[in-house]
Amino acid sequence: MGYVGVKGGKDAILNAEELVEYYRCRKGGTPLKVSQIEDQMRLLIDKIISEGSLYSPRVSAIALKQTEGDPMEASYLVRAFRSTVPRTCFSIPVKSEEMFLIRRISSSFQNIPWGQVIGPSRDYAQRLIRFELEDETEFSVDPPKKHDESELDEPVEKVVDYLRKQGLMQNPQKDPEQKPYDITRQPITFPLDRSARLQRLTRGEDGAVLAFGYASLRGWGSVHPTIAEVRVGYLPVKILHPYWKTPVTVGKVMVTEVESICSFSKTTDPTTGEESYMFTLGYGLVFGHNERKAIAMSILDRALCAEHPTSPIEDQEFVLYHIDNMESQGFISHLKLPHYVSFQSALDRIRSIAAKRNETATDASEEKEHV
Amino acid sequence: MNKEHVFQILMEADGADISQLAEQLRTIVTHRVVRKPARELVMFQAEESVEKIDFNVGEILVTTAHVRVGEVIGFSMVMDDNEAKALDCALLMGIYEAQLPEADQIVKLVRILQDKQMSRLREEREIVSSTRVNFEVMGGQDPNIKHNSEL
Repeated sequence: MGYVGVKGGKDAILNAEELVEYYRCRKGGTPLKVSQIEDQMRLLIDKIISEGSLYSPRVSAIALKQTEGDPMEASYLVRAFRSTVPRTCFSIPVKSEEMFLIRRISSSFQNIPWGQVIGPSRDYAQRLIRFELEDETEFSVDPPKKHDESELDEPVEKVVDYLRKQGLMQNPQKDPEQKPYDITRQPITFPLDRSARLQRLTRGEDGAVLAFGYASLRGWGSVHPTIAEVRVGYLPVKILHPYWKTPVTVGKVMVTEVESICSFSKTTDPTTGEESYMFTLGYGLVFGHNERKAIAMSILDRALCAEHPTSPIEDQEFVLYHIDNMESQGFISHLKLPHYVSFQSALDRIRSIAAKRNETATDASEEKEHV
Repeated sequence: MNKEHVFQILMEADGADISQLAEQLRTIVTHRVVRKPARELVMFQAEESVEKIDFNVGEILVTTAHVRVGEVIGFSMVMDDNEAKALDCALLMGIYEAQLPEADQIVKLVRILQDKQMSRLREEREIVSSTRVNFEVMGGQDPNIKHNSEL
């Protein structure tokens, strides 16, 4: 039986909306400024940007304020807002070699060209609560600096490119005709094109992407990679100028990129037909600073390349349908809506079964008595 | 400095740094707002490195404006929701492209902004460089084990 809706309750619903506002403000104090949320809840804003699939720190901060800090609901608002704004162009596809790096580490190689830079990371810190933050009244941060003469816009070559030069990894040629699939405008049908899978993964819910990536590491998949490189930094946003028809840069976005080296497999060189063993790669790139998600994305990207899936994590439909925040929370949340009619039907059925059982039991006991 | 460079510096500038000049020129240069500042989306595309394919990462909220100055239309596209900055940038780009005498003031401002943006980047690079690391393998390097430490 399908879902049967209900009507009415308008006044109560409107009052409930006001009550939400009341609960948001009831403790008084100074209203949070959107700029404060944007500046000081950096990673939370990045999460909303990534899952809302809209790079707008300001809108994300407003949404977070409105939803009293519920990132999933905030992402929902951001996606809804996004659907009201016209898309007027595509950016010129950017290569991550152009990234202005603030963090770059490799767990595959100790020494990499340009070096490893820890950047703003809590990875090596103790997990102790800094109670002194309770009394913080002003910022007093003066990070150490180290003189660096390197060119600011010099591209930083990738670790995997070195492996490619050594013939340990495939070196694909870019297809200039390839146009990325757009899951926001085209229907999702399986098997999905890889560009569509990447788009679906990058806007996936942080926790869901992480959980599925973790499941692969625990054996519900076959990917357990070594990180070639984690990069965090700014990528330029380039468009074609509408009047000049030349590329121009309009700004920068912060992203996290991960390349994971996975197991090696037998590969045939498409030009020479020669067979050899090469490493395979998984790729992750997400808006904002979110290394967990980018690493998990790279695991899932590789796992979903499986031609013959043998585990749920290699199944495109299983992974890609369940990582989207809008769909999962929407479906779970709909359970709260009145299901009076469908439940009444279930109730009728179970009552009729119970009645039939009672009837049978009465008949049996009467028969027994008769005997 | 070419026009693309001027465009980039103005679009990436802080709104407060260009508003004063824009305000001043707005009163003395004849112009017409062809398209008021409007929110738009740009789909951001990146090339991934496994198969070198392009994919859609997500959309970026931008604000655009079009301002006519003489025979040219100054266009701006600034990040996020920022009507005032979009309008200022479109006006300045229009004046710059129309090569009015006031364009010199814009070039002068752009040079200042360029220095500011470069020094901001340089500072960020220096802060980040202080965390440059060279991890050592615990227990020292065993000469019998071939380490993959060097590329």
